[in-house]
Amino acid sequence: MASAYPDTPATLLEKLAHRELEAPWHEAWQTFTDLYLPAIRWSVLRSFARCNWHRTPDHMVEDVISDVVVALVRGQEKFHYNPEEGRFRNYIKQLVHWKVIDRIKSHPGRIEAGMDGLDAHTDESVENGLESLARREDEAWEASTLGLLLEEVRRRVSPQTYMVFEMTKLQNRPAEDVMEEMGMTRSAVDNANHRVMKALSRLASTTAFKRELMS
Amino acid sequence: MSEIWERVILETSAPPLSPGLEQEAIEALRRARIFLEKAAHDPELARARDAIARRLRSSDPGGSTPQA
Repeated sequence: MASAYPDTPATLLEKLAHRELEAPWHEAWQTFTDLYLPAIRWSVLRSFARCNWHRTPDHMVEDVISDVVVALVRGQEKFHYNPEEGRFRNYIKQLVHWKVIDRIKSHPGRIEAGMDGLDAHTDESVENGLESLARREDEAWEASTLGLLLEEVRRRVSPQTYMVFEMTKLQNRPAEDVMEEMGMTRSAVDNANHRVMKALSRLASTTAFKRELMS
Repeated sequence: MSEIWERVILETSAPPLSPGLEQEAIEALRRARIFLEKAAHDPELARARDAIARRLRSSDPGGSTPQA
C-alpha cells in the first residue's frame, strides 16, 4: 500500500541512508538508480566540460558517478540535502562538481589532460558543446522528476486504473483496443484516465514536486 | 518542459485540466518515459551501477547491499 506521503528525492535519500532496513532500502536503491543515474551522468559530463575536460575517459566519469552515489548512500557528505533550500538537482549538481574537482586534482596528468581538451576544441565548439550538454542535463533531470511522479501515481491508484492510463495515454493505443483488452466500457476507460490525471496534477502540486518541476 | 508543469500546477486548483494542457503534459511524460527506458539499457550506466554496488559491498560486507 502506498504511504500517505509521496516519495520525493529527500525521502529516497533518507531510505538509502538506512541500509539495515533491507526491503525498503533495496526498493529505494532500485528507484534511485533507475531514475537518477542518467541525470547524474549528464551532470558529471557537463561538470568535467566546465573544467575544460572535453574528452574525459569513461572510467573517470563512472568513478565520479560512483563517488557521488556512494557518498549519498553512506551519508558521508557534511553538505546534506535540505529541500527547504532548493531543488534536488541543484544539490546534486553541486556535489557532482566537487567530486569532479577532487578527481581532477588527484589525476596525475591533470594539467596535460586539461590542456589537451582545450587544444582539441575551438571556442565555438566548446561553447556549443557546453550548451548541448546543458540541454541534455536539463532533459535528464526533467525525466527523473517526471519518472518519480509517474511511479508515485502508479502506487496510488489501482493496478487496473494505471494499466488503462499506461495503454491509452503513455503507449497511445486506441481506446477501443484497451476497452476490449481490459473488458471495460468507454466510460470506465475515461474515468480511469481522469483519476490518474487528477492524481498526477495533485501530486505535481505538492510542495516537493512543485519545487522540482517549476523553474 | 517546466513551463507545461507550471501550467498544470496552476490549473490544478480548478480541475480538470484543459484538454490541450493535458495532452502536453502527457507528451512530456511520454518523453520522460522514453528517455528513462533508453537509459535503462545503456551499458555505461549499467557499468556505473555495478561499480557502485561493488564499492558498497566492499565497504560493508555484512550489510544490505545492492546486487550488481
